Parts: sequence; structure tokens; C-alpha cells
Amino acid sequence: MESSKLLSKINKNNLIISYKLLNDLLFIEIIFFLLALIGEGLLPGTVTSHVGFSKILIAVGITILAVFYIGNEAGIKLAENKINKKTAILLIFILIALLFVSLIKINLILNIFITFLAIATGYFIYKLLLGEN
Amino acid sequence: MLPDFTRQILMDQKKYGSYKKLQAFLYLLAFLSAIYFAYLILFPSAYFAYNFSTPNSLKNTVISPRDSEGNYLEHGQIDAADKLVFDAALAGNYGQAKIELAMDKASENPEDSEIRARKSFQSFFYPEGDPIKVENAVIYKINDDYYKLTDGRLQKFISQNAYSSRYDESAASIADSKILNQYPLDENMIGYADGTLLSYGISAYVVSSGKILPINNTVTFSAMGYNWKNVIPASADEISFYEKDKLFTISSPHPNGTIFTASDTKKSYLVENGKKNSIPSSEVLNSLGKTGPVDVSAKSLETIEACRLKKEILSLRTYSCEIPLEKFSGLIGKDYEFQLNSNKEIKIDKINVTFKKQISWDNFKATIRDLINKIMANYGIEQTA
Repeated sequence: MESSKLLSKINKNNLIISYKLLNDLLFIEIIFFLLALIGEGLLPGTVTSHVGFSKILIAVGITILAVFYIGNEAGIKLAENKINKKTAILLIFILIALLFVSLIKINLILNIFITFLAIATGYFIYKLLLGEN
Repeated sequence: MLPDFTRQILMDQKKYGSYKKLQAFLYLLAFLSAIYFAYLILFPSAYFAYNFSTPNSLKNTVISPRDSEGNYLEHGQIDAADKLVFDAALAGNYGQAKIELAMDKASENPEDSEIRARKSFQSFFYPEGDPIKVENAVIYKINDDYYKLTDGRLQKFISQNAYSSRYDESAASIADSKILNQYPLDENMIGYADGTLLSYGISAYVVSSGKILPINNTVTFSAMGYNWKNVIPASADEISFYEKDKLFTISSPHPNGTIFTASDTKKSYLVENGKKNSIPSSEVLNSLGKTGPVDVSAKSLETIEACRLKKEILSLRTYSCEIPLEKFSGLIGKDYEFQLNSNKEIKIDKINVTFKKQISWDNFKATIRDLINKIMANYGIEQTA
């Protein structure tokens, strides 16, 4: 009886360590994905000639699933985090820059218009799906 | 100090210490992976392949595997008395080339067979032909138009620029328009000299055998040893005079009409129908096309590196060897010619060639320069020479 308790404690500790490590891995993968996106935005083919985006996204997806699975197994329930404003602003800025750069070869006014339209559409979809009401 | 994204989860001190160690190891792995990835981008390898079972595949990037006579090797079959010759074209300096040959089941063992490599331009590897002779042309200038008298018929040049690409202004004798009644006019007009570089809009072309070959990009243009100063802007009429031939890529040999001048021996050659014909004097050179010659290194024909094939450890029928390329770094050219002399009846299924860049400050600077140029070209930013 005592030994099974000890075993489950060891297992739980290992699960928690795995959970924390998977969170670190997810962070590393997202940073890599972001850098890959910026690299590809600047010069198409720089990253994808070595590793495809699909592979990075599959790795990110598997890590997210593993985080959920191990979190459930270990009974980890985290309080909902508020969105970090600084990170959100940085990510939105990168998103806008990538969108703008992808349309660089078209007319500048049309580029700005399409970028603005995409941002507005994204914002309203966000409000519709994740808004408080 | 590494971040802890899940610091709400409490653990005992001992386990937390283990986690921190594992976390440090994970970040170290990520850092090493990032360095490896940067290495792949900054010191890229170039891959070339040829599969004898799919000779028309676009994936075949090794250039024309052939025997010593230049004949295509059916199914990769090479006689004992013959040898395999193939090329690979690429821009930039590489430190090593690994050649892998996947042999057919029916093939003899090519172990210890020698593979030799040379670097120059494909057309400069052509056998030497007869020396070029000066052509004594009779040319008339009638009312700003130029005519050449050939076999009793007058052939008109499509433009003054086309005439100037072939002859000096002094070569034409000014004549009266009455001469047009003396000789019949040939319906075939004369265009630019073979090897002339033309531009129209944002496209550049090289003239060869009455056709124009569109150059696919600036990398090809530079790798071919061409100079932007030699490009002649052509009019729409001049361009429409020619039939467009297939795309001129980095894998293409220099076409007929190209003039090579060896920077070390000062000897010049004219490429014509698979031969390089020597140009005996500067007078003959001046009488040929006015497009500046392409520089080559005469010693590149004698500068050879070699390696001997060994069986790959984890393969049944693949043999490989590595050739160091440092010896070729000072030589002009974009083509590496490989020759396999096995003295055995062999049959090859696939050829793979991998060019590896060495880690050096010069290669690093060259890659960074190349990346900046590509980014600038991608965003349409004007580049200075």
C-alpha cells in the first residue's frame, strides 16, 4: 500500500516535470516558428528549403496535445491567464509586418488598404468568437 | 536565468532542482539546434542527382552523363574501355564534393575506380578544333543601311547595331543605291553576331545560331562570366527578328559564338558546334563578335583532383568518394566535370553529387552578401555593383 502511494507520488512528480518541460519545449518551438516566419517573410525559401512549415506546425501541435494530455493525467488545473498586453502587441506588430511584406509588390495604397482590411476583419472575428458577450 | 512558465505548480526543492537541470539541457539542445540550422543556411550544401531509369525527369540535375565521345549512356551502361563523364554547374566556392554511385545489380564492382574532377566552363572543356580564319566580307553601306554581298546576293543587316556587333565601321564601303539593282536582295537578313548579349525590357538574351536564348536570372548571367557592360539594348523589331529558344540556365553550356580568352595564356577560342576553335591573332579576334570575351583559366584544363570509390558502409551497392575542391578555388568557371574510369563493365542506376561549403570567413561573407542581394532583388531595390 505504502509502496503504491510512493510510486504514484514519483509518477506524479515525473508527470509534473514532464509537463513543465513540455511547456518549455512549446515556447522554444513557437520562438523557432516565429523566427522562421520572419525569415520566410524576408526571403522566401530561406527556411523552407531546409525544413517545411508543416513539420514545425506538426511538432507544435503534438507538443500542445502532449501538454493537455499530461496536464490532465497529473491533474493540473491552471488559473486562466490574462493576455499579456506587451506580448500581444509584439505579435500583432509582427503579424501586420508579415502581411504588409507579403503584399510588397503590389501598389502601396492597395497594400495598406488590404492590410487594414485584414486587421479589421481579424479584430471583429476575435470579438465575435472570444468577446465577453 | 531561464524562464519558468508554470511557476504556479509547486514542487519540492529536490524535484525542482532536477527540473531546472533538465530545462537547462533542453535549452542547450535548442541552442545547438539553432547553431546547426544557422550553419545549414550560412554554409549551404548543393545537391545534384541523376537517375538513369528516368532520364527525362526534371529532378535530374547532373548535366548530361555521357561516354568519352559525348554519347548518352543508355541505362547507365559503361563499357570497360570507356569512361563516364558528367558535369554539375553551380555558383560559389565549395570545399568538397562527394560523389555517390548507386550501382545496378548486374554491375561489376567499381571499388577503387578513380573519379577525376576539373573546374571551368562546359564549352571550354570541348576538344580543340581548327584555327579560325579571317573572313573577307564585301560590305556596302547604302543610305545608312548595311548590306553584305554573299554568293552574288545582297543580305541586309537588321540594324546598325547588328552590323556593329560583327564588323567595324571601316569594313563597309559607302555605295550608291544603284548597287541594289545590280544584285538580287536575299530575303534572309543578318542579325547580331552569335554570342552577343541583348536586353529588352527586364529580360536579357544571348544570341546563338539565329536564335535568342532568354537568360533565366542574374545568378546565371554572372556565373557565365558575362559582363553587364557588354549587353546591347535591343529594339522590339530586333527581338522579334529572332525565334526564342529554350531558357538559358546555369546548367547550359556557353552557346555557339562565345569567345573565351584565357587570362593566364592570353589565348582566345571561339565556341562552334561542340568544339573550341583557337583564334590565331588579335586581328582575327577583333574581326569576330564585338561582345567582350568570357574570361577562363587555361590551367583549369590541367588542374585535376581525384578520389577512389569505396563501398558505403550501410549500403549494398552504393560506392562513394570525396574530392577536395580547394585547388579549384582560384579558377574561373561554374562547371565541375567528373570522369570515372573504371576499366570494368559497370552499370549505374543513380548518380548523386553533394557539394559542401567549408566554414570560413570568406564563405560567411559571401553568403551574407548573397542573402542581402536576394532580399534586395525580392523587394525590387536597386543594387549597386
